[in-house]
Amino acid sequence: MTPLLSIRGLSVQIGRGTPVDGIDLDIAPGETLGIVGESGSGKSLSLRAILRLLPPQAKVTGTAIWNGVDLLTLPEPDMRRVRGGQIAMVFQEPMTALNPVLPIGLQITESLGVHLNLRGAAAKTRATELLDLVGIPDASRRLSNYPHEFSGGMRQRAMIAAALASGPKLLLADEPTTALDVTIQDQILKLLLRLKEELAMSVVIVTHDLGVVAGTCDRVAVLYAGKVMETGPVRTLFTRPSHAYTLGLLRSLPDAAHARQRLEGIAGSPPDPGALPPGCRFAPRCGFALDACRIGDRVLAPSAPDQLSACIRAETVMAA
Amino acid sequence: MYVLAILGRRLGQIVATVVLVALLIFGLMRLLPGDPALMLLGDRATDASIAQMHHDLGLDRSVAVQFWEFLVHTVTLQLGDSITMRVPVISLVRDGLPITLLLTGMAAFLALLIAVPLAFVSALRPGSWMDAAIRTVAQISLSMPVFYIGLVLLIVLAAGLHWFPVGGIGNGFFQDLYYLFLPALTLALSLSAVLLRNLRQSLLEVLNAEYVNFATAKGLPRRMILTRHVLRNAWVSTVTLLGLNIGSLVGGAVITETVFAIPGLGRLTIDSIFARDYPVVQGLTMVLAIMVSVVFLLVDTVQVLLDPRMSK
Repeated sequence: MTPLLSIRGLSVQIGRGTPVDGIDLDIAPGETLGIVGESGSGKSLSLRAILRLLPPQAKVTGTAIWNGVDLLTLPEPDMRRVRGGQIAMVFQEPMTALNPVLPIGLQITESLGVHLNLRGAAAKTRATELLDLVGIPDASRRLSNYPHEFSGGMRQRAMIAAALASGPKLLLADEPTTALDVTIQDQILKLLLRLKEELAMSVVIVTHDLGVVAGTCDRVAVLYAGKVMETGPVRTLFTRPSHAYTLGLLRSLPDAAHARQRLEGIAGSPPDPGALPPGCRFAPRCGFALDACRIGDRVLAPSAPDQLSACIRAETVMAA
Repeated sequence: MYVLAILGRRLGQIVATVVLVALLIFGLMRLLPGDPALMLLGDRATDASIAQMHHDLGLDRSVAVQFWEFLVHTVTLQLGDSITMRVPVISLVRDGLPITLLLTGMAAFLALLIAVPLAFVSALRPGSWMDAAIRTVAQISLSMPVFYIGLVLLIVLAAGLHWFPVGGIGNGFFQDLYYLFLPALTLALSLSAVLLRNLRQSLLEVLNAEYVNFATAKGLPRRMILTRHVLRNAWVSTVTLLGLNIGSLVGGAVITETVFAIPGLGRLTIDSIFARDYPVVQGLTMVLAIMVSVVFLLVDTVQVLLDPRMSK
C-alpha cells in the first residue's frame, strides 16, 4: 500500500546541534503510528518540522511526500491549504495552545471559513456539531465561552474540535494527554481513536508514555537522540524488542502486576545534540554495547517480520 | 454584565480619588503662609474689613464645615473666581479644556500611529538592521526632553520650512487639528518610544506563543494570525501602559502648550502658578485629577474588553 505520508532523511538543525538527524518514517492510510522517546529525542520537533511550524533559525532538510508533493519545499500558499485542511495538529497544553482572549467558537469557525468557505450561521452550526462530536455537552451555548471557562479535559476536546474542523486526512498529536489527569487521559485517547474511525483519518501520536502507545497505536517508532532506533508493530515490538534502548525503556516501566519490584531504568542521560557520541548514540548508556557499537553509522535493518532495528546486537537483545 | 460591575467598582474608586485630591488641595491652601484676607485687601486692611472678609470667605467657620463647603463647591463646579483675571475659574476651564483634550488625544493617537507599525516591523525581524534603526531612534527620542523636541520641530518644520504655524490655535476644529499637529507630535514622540519598546517586547513573546503555532497549524493566512491572534494579545499590556502615561502626557502638555503658545489648560496652569492665582490653580488641579481618573476608568474598561480573563 502506498503510504499517506512518506518521510525520508528528515533532519532539523538548530545552531550547531542536530536534534533530528535523518529520520525515515511511513504513515499508512488509516493507521495509528506512535512515536516514543525521552524528552529531547526530537519527536516533537519532527512533527512540527512536517507542518513547517519551526522558527526560521531551525534548518529543516529531507523530504516529506504527501499526495505526491514535498511538504518541506511546497510554496507557502499551498502549504497553508495543507495545514488544517489536510493535516491537522493538536498540541500538548490546551491552555497555551488555545488563544486566551478569543471565544472557543471563533477558534473553530475561523478554520471553517479559511478551508471550507463556511461563514456566519453555517459555520456556527458546524462548530456546534464539532463540539458535540468531541463530547462537549450543551455545545451551542459553549461556543461563546473562553478557554479559561473550560476544564482541562474540555479544553483538550475543544482543541481537537478546532484542529479537526476542516476534515483532515492525517492528525498529528503532540503529547495530547501529557498535561491531563490520568482519568481524562483515557477519555481523550478513546475520543481520538473514535474520531480516527469516524473521520477515516490516520493518526500520529507523539508521546513519552509507552502505555499510551500500547493502548492506541498499530505501529511504533522509537526515537533516541534524533534517530530512529527501532520501528515495528506495537504487539511484536513490545513483546520482543530488538533494540537495546527499547528493551531499556520497557524495563523501566513500573508493572502493576508485580508491585514493589525494583525498576531497572536506564543509567545516565541522553547526549547533548551538540556533542553526540560516535557510533550508536545509545552505546554510552547501553549494557549490551561492544567496541563495534562505538564506531561507524547505524542503519535500520530487518530484525523480525515488519520490524526494523538499528541495533547491531539485535539478536542478543531479542534473546534477553 | 461583568463590564458594568467593574465600571461600578472603578467609579467608586474615582469618587474616592477626587475626595482625596480635594482634601490635599484644601490642606495645602491652609498650609500656605499668610492670611488670604490680608492678601486680597492689601495695605488698606483694617481690623473690621479683615473680619468682614473672613466672614465673606467663610474663614470664620470650623475647618470641617469649610472642607464640606469646598467639596460641595467642587462637585457643583463652583470653582470660584480668578484673582488676576476676575472671571469665574469654570469659564477659564471651559475655554481651555477642549484644547488640552484635543492636544492630548491627538498625541495619544499619533503615538499609536507611530508605535504600532514600527513595533511590528521590529518584532517580525528581530536583530535586523531595521529593528536596530527603529530601536535606536526610539532610544534617542526617549532621552530628549519634551521642550527640546518641541523647539527643534518648531525651528525646522515651522520657522524653517513653513509647513506648520509657529504657535497658537486655529479657527474651528479642522484648523485646530492643523495648528495642534506639531505640539501633538512633540508630545507623541517620547510616548511612542515607550509604547514601541513595550509592544515590540510583547509581540516577540506572543509570536512564540503556542496558540500562534496552533493558529498556523490550522492553516490561517498570515495576516489573520498577526491581527487576530498576535496583536489582540500583545495589545493588552500596551493599552495599560498608554493609560498610565496619560497622566504624564497631561504634564507634558503643560510644557508643550507653553512652547507653542497654545491657550490650553497647561499654559493656564503655568501662568496662574506664576501669578499666585490660587483659585485657578486649585480648580485646575481638581479638573486634571478628574480627567486622569476618567482615563484610567476607560483603560480598565478597554482592558476587560480585550482580555476576558481580567474580569475574574
